[in-house]
Amino acid sequence: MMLALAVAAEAGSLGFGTFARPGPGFLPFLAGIFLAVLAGVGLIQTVVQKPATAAGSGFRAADILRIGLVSAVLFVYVFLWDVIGFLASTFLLLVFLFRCVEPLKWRTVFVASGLTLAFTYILFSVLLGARLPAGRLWTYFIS
Amino acid sequence: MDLFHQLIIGFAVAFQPINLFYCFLGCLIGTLVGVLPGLGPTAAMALLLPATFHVAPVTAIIMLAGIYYGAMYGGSTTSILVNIPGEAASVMTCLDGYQMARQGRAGAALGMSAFGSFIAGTFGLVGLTLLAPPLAVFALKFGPPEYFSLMCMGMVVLSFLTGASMIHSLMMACFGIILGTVGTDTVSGSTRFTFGLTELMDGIGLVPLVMGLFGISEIILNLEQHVDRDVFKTKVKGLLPTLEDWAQAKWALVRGTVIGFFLGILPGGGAVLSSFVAYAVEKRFSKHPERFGTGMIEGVAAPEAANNSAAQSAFIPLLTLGLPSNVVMALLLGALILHGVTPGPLLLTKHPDIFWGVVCSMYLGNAMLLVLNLPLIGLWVQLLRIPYPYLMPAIVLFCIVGSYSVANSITDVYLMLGFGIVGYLMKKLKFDAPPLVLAFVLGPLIEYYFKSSLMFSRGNFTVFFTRPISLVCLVITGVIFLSSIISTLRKRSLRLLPKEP
Repeated sequence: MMLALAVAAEAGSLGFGTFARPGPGFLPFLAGIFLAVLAGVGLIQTVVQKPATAAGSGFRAADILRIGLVSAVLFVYVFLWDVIGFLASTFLLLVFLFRCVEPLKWRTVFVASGLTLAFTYILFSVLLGARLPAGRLWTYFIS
Repeated sequence: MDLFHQLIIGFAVAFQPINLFYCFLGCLIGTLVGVLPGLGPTAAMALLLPATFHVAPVTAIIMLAGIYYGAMYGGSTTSILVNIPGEAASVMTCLDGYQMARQGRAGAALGMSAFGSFIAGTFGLVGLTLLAPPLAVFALKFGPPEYFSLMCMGMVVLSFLTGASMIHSLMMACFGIILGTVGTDTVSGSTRFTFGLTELMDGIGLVPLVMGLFGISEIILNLEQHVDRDVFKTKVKGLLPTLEDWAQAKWALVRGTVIGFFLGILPGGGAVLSSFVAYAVEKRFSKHPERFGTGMIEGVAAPEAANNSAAQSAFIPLLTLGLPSNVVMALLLGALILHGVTPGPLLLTKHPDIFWGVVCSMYLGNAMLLVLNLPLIGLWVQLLRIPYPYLMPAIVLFCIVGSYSVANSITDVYLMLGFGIVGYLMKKLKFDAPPLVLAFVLGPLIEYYFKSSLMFSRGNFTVFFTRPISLVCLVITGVIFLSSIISTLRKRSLRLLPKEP
C-alpha cells in the first residue's frame, strides 16, 4: 500500500492534467490509487481471516539463507563483469553453482563449468554477436 | 483476395528455407523446453527474443510461435514418464498418462498424446484460418474507446481466471500498468519513475521482466525444494495407439479440441485452463468417471487435444485485434512491436505475408512436431535423465546472458535479478505473474487509448458507455467483477456460519 501511495504521489507531481487533456501522471496516478485500494482490501481480508488460513506459504530460515546467498552471488557476479570480464566471472559463478548449490565432485565441477561456459560464449558472442564485457582489469594490464 | 490465394501466400512464405529452418528450430526448442523442467515456454521465448532481431519479423514470430506450441507437445512427455508436468498445461496429463506408463502402456499414452495434439492443433489452425479474417474486418469498427474497454475486459477476465485471489491478480495488473509507464511519456516527453537513470528512459524491457518473473524466480524456488525425477527405466514401445484406443479416445479428442479452441480465444483462457476444463468435461461425460486417474486413455487425449487447440486459437485475438489473451501472446505482441509490426485488424491487409506466413508455418510446425515427438522419443527420455543440478547453472547463465544481449545493458541484468526475487516472493505469497506481464505489455496501449478517448470526447466519460461494443465489454467486465465480489462474500458468510454439531 505504501508503494502504491508513493506511486500516486509521484504521479501527481508529474502532472495529472485534466480529463479533456490528461497529463503524464494521469494513468499512473489512477493505477496507484486503485492499487492502494486493493492493497487495503487485501490487508483487511488478511486481518479478518483466521490465523491458520492467513498464514503465508512459509519461509524456512535455511531456505532464506540459501536463497539470499545465491541471489547475492548473482548480483556480485554481474558486478564483476565490468571488473574481471565475462569469461573469468562466469567460470567462477559456474564453479560456485555446480559445487555449492548441489555438491558435485570437483572434477565434474570444472569440466561442467568449462563446457557450459564454452557453449554459452559460442552461442551468444560468436553466433549471436552479443558484446560480452572483457573486463577493465585485463584491459588495464594489456595497455 | 480470397482465402485460397491468401493460403498460397502464406505457404509460399512458410516454405522459404529460412522460415522452415526457424520453424523447425522453434519446435525443437519448444519440445526441449517442454521436456526439461526449470524453464517454461514464456521464459524460453523471452530468452530467444534477442536472437530474432537479425531476421525478418515473420521469421521471428514463426520461431517464437513454434516454441509455444512445441512446448505443449513436449510437456506431455514428462507428465507421462515422470509424473512431473514439463509446463502448466500438461498437469492434467499426469493423472492418467503416468498411470498408463506404470501399467506398461507409456508408448500408447505418448502416441495418443502426440497424435491427439497433432489432430487438435490442426483443427485449431483450420478454425484460426476461417475465423481470423472476418474478425479482423469486424475489428476495423473499433476505435480507442472500444480498444480501451476490450483491454480492460481482457485484464479483468485474466485476473478472474488465474490464481486463487482476484484481488491479488488485480493488484498485479495495477503493478504491471505502473511498471509499463516507467520511462519517457510519448505524448508529453517527460520522464516518469526513472530515478534519474538514463538506462530507464526507454522504459523497463520486456525480456528482463519476463526472464526474472518466470526464469530466475523458478530457479530460486527450486533452491528450496529438491527436484527429483524418477524416469521409467523400461524401453518405451508401441507408440501407435491401437484401434481400441482410438475408439475409446475419439470423442475425448473431439470435445477437447472444441473446448480448447473456444477457451483459447477468450482472454485469460489459454492452454492451461482448457486442459483442466477438458479433463473435467470428459470425466463428466464418461460412463466410468471413477476410473479416471487410473490410466484412462481419454484422460490423456482430452487435455492434450485441448491445450494444443487452445495454443492455436489464442493467436486469433492477437493477430486480429492486437489483444493478447495470455502471457505468451503478450510476449508475442511485444516481439511484434519490437520488430516494428503493429498487430491488429490492419495486419491482415498491411502485412498479409506475416499473418498468413505465421498461420501456415503452424501447419508445417504441427507436422514437424509429430516427427520430432514420436520417432525421437528415446532422445527426449535420455534428456530427462540429465540431473537437475547439471541443468540449473546453465539455465541461470542463459537467463543472465540472454537478458544482457537484448541491449548489451548490465542494468537490464540487475533489473532481471530484481524481478527474479520479486517473482519468487510473488510465488510464495500467491500473487500471479501473468496479469502483471499482460498489464505491463498492454499498459502503454491502454494509456494511449484511454487518453485518446477522453481527448476525443473532451473529457466526457460517457464515450465508453454510449458505443455498443465498448458498452458490452464494460458490462462483461462489471459482471465478472461483481460475481467475484459476491462469490468472496458468500464464501466468507459460509465460513462465519456456526458449524452443525
